[in-house]
Amino acid sequence: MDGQKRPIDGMSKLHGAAALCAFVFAGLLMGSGLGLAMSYVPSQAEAFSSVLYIRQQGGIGALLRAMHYHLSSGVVVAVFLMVITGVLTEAHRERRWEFRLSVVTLLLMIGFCFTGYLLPMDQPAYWGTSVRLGIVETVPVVGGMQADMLRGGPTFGAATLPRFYALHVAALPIVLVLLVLVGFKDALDRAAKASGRWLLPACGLITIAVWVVAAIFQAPLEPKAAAADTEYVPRPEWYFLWLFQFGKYVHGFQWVESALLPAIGVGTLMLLPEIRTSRRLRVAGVIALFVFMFGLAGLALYEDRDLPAKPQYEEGLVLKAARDYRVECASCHGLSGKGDGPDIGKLDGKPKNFTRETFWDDGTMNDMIEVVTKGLAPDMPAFGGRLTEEEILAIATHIEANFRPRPAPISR
Amino acid sequence: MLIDRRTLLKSWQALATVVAGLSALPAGLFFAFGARSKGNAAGGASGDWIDLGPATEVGEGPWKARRFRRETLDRWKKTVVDESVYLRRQGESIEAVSALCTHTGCLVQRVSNGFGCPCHKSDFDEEGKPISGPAPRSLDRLETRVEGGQLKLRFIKFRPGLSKSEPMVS
Repeated sequence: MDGQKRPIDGMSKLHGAAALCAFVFAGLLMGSGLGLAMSYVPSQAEAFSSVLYIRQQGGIGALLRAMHYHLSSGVVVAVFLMVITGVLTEAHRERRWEFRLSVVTLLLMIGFCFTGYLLPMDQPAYWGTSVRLGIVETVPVVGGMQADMLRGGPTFGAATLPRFYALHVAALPIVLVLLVLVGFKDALDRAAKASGRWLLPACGLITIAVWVVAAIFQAPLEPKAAAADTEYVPRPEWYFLWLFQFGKYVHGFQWVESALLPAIGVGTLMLLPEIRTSRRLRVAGVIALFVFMFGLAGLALYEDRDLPAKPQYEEGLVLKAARDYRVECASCHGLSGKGDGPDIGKLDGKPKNFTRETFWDDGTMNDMIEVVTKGLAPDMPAFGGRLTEEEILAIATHIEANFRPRPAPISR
Repeated sequence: MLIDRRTLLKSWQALATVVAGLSALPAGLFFAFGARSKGNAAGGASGDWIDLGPATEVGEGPWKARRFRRETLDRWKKTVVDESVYLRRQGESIEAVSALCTHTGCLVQRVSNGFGCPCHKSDFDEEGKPISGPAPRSLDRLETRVEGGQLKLRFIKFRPGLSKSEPMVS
């Protein structure tokens, strides 16, 4: 082992940089995650609202959420690069167990992504996790059992979120901390000795960069999970797009995607330190892997080129209110709000005309919300059981914004 | 190995690993066997007959999506869940097909002459048979019956990804 005597080439530097980034990112993820855990509620009924509250409050909570969100991508990339550069240099032969543990770390990070993705309980969280559990189901023999354990039962239910939460904030972090302190102790020692006084300033610079990125780019939040929404089109995070596209081509033998592909990948990496390979072969292998992954991801993006951008929570409320008005209200109140819908012949009374000023003189928004919620004799149905308070408020806002006559502009 | 076996056994790392192993056992046991849902026994889970309203609401013509609510007792918690199903009338009888794609469990959408899954692009014909894409089996048919003019649906979810229909019940 005369690693220090050999001149350090660019790839080794990249290896070190990736490892350092992964280390700092992991620390910041734990810190920001701890902060978020102080406000997050892991229950099916409350989870989304608690995340929305953090988002709408802004300030340090939203900043930590943005940091946690961006770092989740960042740490996957950093650990992935750590493994790849380990293959490209001689590191995987010189320190075999360290290399294998870096592969384990990558799997651990994927575990963090899998469990963390569900927590906000917005549309992509619910649907992404449903699809992934569907893929877990297809692992031969143990798949169904594993999916049941993760869900805490045969269907997505009250135990699912607490289980994902416990894995995400307790089980996996403990494993990670042990892995770093026990498995990478020597690596940390070496890093401290080799880079000397540059190590701490480098950590500081990375940290500042992360805070700046988090302050500029907000974390996304889509509308609340709706298990009956046939119009939602789920898509995975960008770094899983290649696997998602691969899934489209696996016809019939789904264990190819859920078991064979991961087994080949992990198995190859674990055995690699035992096999003498030429650098050229390994470079070719890594290039082939990149072509495979980026090719598939590109294809996935290409096939989705006509897919409309996913609305965030706030836009989603507005869009949904417009749709709810068309579906629920327009048959009587009319598309233009004049009370002239196609069904007025079937009614006993006369639907309200929202475009008349007198309608707005008679009552307030609160009155309208009450009527929509509780109904009004003889014809107006109660929507309280079918729509949430927030959805009804959005519809009332939609009606006011679109149909209430604007007062004539005051001339100056 | 990083260090030889004798040093490893004496190191604090070995102790830490032992502690980790000890704590993993009870946690793992609960993860595998604890607090599982009781499925049908608790009532309101998969397999109940659900009232979908007057049968006359389903007119002649192709499949139409129907949203409905069902109350479930999930462990300690009574919740109301929204679900979707596709319905069509064939003369006197009303047919129902599950909206869950048999590939990974996304909800299929209506396309001309059949169903399409927006996730991995599985296509199904008007009868729910897979035409193209990765779906391993036909869309699952659900039982319906008409009782006193009310349409009833026996709502079951099936495991995705398998070539045979297997209900999700414990």
